[in-house]
Amino acid sequence: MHEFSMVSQLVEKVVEEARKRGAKRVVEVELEVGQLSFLNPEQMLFAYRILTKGTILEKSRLTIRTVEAHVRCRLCGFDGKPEYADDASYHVSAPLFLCPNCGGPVEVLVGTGCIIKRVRLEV
Amino acid sequence: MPDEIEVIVPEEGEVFDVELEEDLLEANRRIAEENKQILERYRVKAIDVMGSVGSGKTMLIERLIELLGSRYRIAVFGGDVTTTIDAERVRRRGAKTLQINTGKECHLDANLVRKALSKIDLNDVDVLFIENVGNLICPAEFPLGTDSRVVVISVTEGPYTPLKHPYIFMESDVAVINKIDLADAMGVDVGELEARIKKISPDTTVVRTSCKTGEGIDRVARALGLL
Repeated sequence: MHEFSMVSQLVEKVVEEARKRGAKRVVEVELEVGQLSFLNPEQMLFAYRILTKGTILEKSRLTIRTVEAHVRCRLCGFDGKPEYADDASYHVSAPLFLCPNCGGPVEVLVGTGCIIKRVRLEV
Repeated sequence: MPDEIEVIVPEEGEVFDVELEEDLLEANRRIAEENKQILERYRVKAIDVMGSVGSGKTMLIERLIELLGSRYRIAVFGGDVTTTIDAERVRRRGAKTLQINTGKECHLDANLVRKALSKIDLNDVDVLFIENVGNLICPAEFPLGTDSRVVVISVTEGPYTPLKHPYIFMESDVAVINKIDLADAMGVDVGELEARIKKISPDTTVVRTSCKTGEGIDRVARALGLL
């Protein structure tokens, strides 16, 4: 839902980095988005196309890798992927945050971040 | 004469990779941590009030001001997309009010709160309620640096809110189930709703309220350590 503001932060960061390194243009940005973040890759790509116009990132490629979620059960210690509920009333397949093994509450270990991993610059 | 040191520079048109590892959400968390320190320095207890549109966030704050206004000096930040309607309601209750309009954003972030903090004299404040934008999704991802986070839902949203939006409950210290006076009319089993929250987030304190009748407001205050 906040794809636009995240991408505009990303563009700011990359412009700063490219300038610091005297790059002529940005070729590619690699982004890792956690499966449990509320960021939709398709909307991010759309925002990227618009927000990079007229910047050093224009015409560069945004590659988004989705990072699978990883949870741990607070009761039985189960360690693995969360369970998802596919219900017609959900807009997306929603993570349950309940242990697939015992139904207990889980904590999220991986899957909520939004990280710029790498930028490819041309000098 | 020593040989000249050879410096390797990228050639014109050369392409190279820079590893960044820059977490875009981390920037918000950092500012939130700074907000927390500012609030601690002034001994202000801040509470992030989240919840969907129409769940009763503003009314809960109004009721808490009624209950606690003689005990604490209360300030309220109202986060809204454009209007000041809610902020006006709260101001009429006698609390210092500052409106934060997010423009297009679906949530408050730590930076907007930071700006708001610089606009009031924190020496005059004991308790600060920050009313987030009505939304059960985005605010969960953006901590503001408050002592506690509250999520307000109401029985009129139906019985499945905690299952549809588990993350915001996991992030909340207190979950308020509001409008319990309407539970029968809505055919919602409040006990079942509470059990769903507890299952997803056992450490979250669940309080049932009717902000309309005033029922349960004291229990919310107690859950927040204000009574």
